[in-house]
Amino acid sequence: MTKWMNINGRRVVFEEGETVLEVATKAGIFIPTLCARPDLPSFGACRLCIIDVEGNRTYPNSCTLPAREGMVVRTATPDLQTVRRNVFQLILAEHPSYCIICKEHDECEKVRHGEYKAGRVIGCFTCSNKEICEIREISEYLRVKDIRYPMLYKNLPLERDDPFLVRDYNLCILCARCIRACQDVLGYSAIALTKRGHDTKVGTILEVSHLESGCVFCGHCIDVCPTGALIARGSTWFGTPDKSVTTTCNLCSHGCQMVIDVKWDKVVNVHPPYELSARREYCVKGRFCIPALVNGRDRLKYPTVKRKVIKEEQYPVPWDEAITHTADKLKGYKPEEIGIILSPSLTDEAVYLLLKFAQRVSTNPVVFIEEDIKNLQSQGVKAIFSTFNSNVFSEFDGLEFLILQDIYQSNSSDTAEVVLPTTMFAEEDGTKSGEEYMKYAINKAVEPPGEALPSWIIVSRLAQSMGLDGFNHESIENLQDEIRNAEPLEIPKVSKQQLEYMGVPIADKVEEFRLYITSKRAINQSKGKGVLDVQI
Amino acid sequence: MTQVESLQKYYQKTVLICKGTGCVSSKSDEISEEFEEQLKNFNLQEKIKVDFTGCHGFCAQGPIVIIEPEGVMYAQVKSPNVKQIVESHLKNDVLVEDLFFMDPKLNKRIGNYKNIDFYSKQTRMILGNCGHINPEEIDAYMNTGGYSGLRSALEKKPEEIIQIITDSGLRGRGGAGFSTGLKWQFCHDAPGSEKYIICNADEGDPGAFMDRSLLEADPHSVLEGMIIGAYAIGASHGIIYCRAEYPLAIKRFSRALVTAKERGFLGDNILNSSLSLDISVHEGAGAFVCGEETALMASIEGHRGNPRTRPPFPATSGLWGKPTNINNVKTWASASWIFKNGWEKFHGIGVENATGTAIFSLTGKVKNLGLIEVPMGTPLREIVYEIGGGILDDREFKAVQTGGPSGGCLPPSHLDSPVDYETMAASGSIMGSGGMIVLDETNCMVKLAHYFLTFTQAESCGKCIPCRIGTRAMLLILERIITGKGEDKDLMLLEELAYTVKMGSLCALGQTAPNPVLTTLKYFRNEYQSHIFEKRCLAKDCQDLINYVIDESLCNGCTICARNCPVSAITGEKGQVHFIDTAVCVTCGICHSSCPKTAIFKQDRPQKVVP
Repeated sequence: MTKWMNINGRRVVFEEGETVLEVATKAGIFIPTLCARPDLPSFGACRLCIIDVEGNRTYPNSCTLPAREGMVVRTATPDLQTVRRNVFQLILAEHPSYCIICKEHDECEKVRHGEYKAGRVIGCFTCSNKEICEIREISEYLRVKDIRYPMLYKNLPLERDDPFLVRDYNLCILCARCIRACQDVLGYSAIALTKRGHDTKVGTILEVSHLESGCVFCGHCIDVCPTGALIARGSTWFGTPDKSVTTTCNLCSHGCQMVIDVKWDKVVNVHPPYELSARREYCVKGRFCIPALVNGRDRLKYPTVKRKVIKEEQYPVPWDEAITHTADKLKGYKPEEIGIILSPSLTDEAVYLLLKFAQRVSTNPVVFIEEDIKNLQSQGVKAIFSTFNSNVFSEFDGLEFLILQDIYQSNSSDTAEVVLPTTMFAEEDGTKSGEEYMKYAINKAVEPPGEALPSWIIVSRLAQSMGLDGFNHESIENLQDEIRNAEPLEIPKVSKQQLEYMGVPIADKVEEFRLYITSKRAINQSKGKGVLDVQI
Repeated sequence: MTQVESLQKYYQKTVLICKGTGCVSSKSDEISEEFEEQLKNFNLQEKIKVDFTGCHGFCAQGPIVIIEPEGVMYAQVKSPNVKQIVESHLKNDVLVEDLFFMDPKLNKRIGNYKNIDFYSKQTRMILGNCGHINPEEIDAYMNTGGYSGLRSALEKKPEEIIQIITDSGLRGRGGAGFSTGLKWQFCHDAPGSEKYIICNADEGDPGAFMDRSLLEADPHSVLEGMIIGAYAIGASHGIIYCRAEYPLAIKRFSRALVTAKERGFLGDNILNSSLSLDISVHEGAGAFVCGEETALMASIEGHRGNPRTRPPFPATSGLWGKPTNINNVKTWASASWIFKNGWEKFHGIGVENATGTAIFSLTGKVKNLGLIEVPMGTPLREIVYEIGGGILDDREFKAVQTGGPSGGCLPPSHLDSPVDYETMAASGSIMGSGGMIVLDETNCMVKLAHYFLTFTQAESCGKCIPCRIGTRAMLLILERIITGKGEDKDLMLLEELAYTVKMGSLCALGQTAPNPVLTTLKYFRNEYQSHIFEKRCLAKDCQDLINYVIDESLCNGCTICARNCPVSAITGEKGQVHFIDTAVCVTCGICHSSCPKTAIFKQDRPQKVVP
């Protein structure tokens, strides 16, 4: 049976268990709120979503009030708006909001598009959250032009003690979204409301550091924060991104959907899509390490071939030359002398093509773990085409010809005869098989560094150069069509605990992550847990 | 047969020593030991029994010793007095008049407590056993008819019990005054097999100690009420949420639980009925807001004491999401009284919409301070002038503050209005859980509002914005006013803020927090105006608006004030008239209170003339 209630004189249908706020939102009736969020359990702290229910003496929260058959509700009576505006002014009285009530507000907005970097946030123009601030939205709705109440800057210390977040609780309005995301959705309870009365603040138990309180730095608190109180340390101050690309994280096989913010063709921030921001658990690697990992200075940019001029050294060469050199030399080896090494982090397309290539040129099995690489040695392998870097190569006896496809410079670059720069997942299109036969789209967000090419193109060009047919795909769509008709692939999975990407230890390239791992290990040790047991 | 009567079979006399928290802290334990020893010395231990009771409610006069059966009350007994009492009164039957209670109104000593106005003008029903029975002995309670109400209740159907409570007109004694019968009915009707009853003993109002006193002096009456309630509602678990600052109450109630279980009043199939009930004690962690029922349940569940909005009401979804009925200590005790004495009798006391009695802790500027119980609808004048004995030093009555920090101040014009829920609410105050502070002409009402707001501001849970930030904003404005920095717009702002906090706040703490400000603004607006516009405190109570001045005709130059002054603002030779340098003086008032000649008086501080 359909249930009906009355909102602002309109008959509105609802389902059992819905709150009035949900019913109103569905019906397109706006009720301002700062603490409610569809993906978080209701809390009812901001008192902006108050409504007038017929027969009620007080104004209940619409975010916690279950809709009832025949309920008569008004959402914007003059009295409600007065209380709302006054409550909102109280919020502004303790939030650095001078910009909102500034006389020059409108002019200033025209001149200053983004925010200015500052040590302390003293108004919107120095707040990194300016563009997506919910307080600003509501101040526009309520048309607040003035704060009559005594103002207060709480002067709390800036919390900059951990590698990934800066917390400025002077901006906090205690909506407790971060706490609900941490406690009720993800189950970590690393933060809670501490103290009471006017001293209430978000904090950790006994004021220990977040590293000790059980925080795993998933960053959800940042995503749900309506203010600029919580900001990702390295990813802030870039202003409005030029574009945002939704893609899949490829650091493990979990298949987390993520949005990559791009500014000046650089990855500046990675965050979950809005609708997922409180629902799915992200890890510290995916949430905070990707910009530094992708933007690394020592990324490989040009193909190089080892030549002896004065001494043996790597020299940059054009792609064609590198490919031809490789193809010519590979043709000189017997199939049983060639080994192919696969990185589990490659896109499905690259894996498919590499396996196809391996079938044609090699009789050895395609391997992806270090022990199996050592086994190749006993098989008499002399030439290796590897899609990731491994320390095993320097100890590999009888290795004559190493072709290394890699993303970063490494020790093996010296051992290798040909080094081919490839792209990371933020720089290419493709598909990725995740857990439980799920397939996710990988979308290109930024241009690769220098001349680096996607792995599948490298393999395809190499195969064509060796005269093999069936590798002349014009585009990735061509390749994807072929894969769809082929046998399903068995692609090795990468665990969430993996601390490397394509053979590159993340801690080597991302300083914050190194700090995180070392301090977590130190804390584990002091608590008598296994040193290496760092939960990601 | 009362306990006293039953004891008289074996003993000629009984010495009842008060061991409520107040008297224990004024060393009644020592007095008890001293009595035992002195009785042995005079070889009277066979004839006279020494026993102890809970609080009499007259703690200012403690330690209190009562000798039964003659009903003689000795007040403020010190341990050296014990020998005198034993020798003179108990051995030779000569009363020790020097230790009698000194009636401040009649200015004479009264021996029998039944003749003291403070007691005789009260109607002690719920507190009837307090001060008369040993709270740690279940037999003492049963000798007064205890648990007979439970026996009769268990023979009835739950619906009949709820009907009796409804008929009695009992309303929640926690302050809101919701009909108890209706509340029980809601919880009884709520679907679910598992239900809870909770006794709210998280008494947090400053100066209030009604619940503590009752739990310390007569825990079984509360327990009996809870068992009856559990049967009516269908609950199988009971919890008493008592603040941890009440260790004696917790101890005595826990003991009551143990002894009641031994006698079969708790546990499975109580008195061969279908009722099975277990009651446990939960200690609060010292947050005022946990007296609010939703915050209280959150606290029991192990969460932060955050209130939430209702609905859903606890009657349908309370503790652990199960139907829950929460009542105040006094409500539960009233329920057991009703079943012991009949609902007709209860209904006969009080007024139409408020039956039974109200318990207040009377403090402030009255002569007799303590816990009082009066029929609902008793006029304030009777409480202040009859039971309270009038204003201290016979000064002018100014106001009475009821309902604790969430209550309001009533001016002299309300002295004759009856104390009941509706009248109080109509005048802007609340019944509250029972704090009653009497104020005289030396109290500044703005400062009083400031004091109470300081309390609510600090005790807000900090969850909702109007309460957390709004009370602070109000406090800042009040602070500005009492320090003479008030601005013209402040009164308007205060009223606006008070409305916002009242309408905007989530729970009753915030919704009632502006009451002290609103009522003082309503009845004592002139005081605010004089603070703001004239920079003058009419009661000369605000430190920043007064100067202390020495009356030259009275000062004899004893130098006491000069020696006590913490900032050395007083100068003068010995034997000469002293002088206070107002530029140095911080108006702490130490000189004022230490002057043996009362030569120091308060004066309005002259305002700086801004050219």
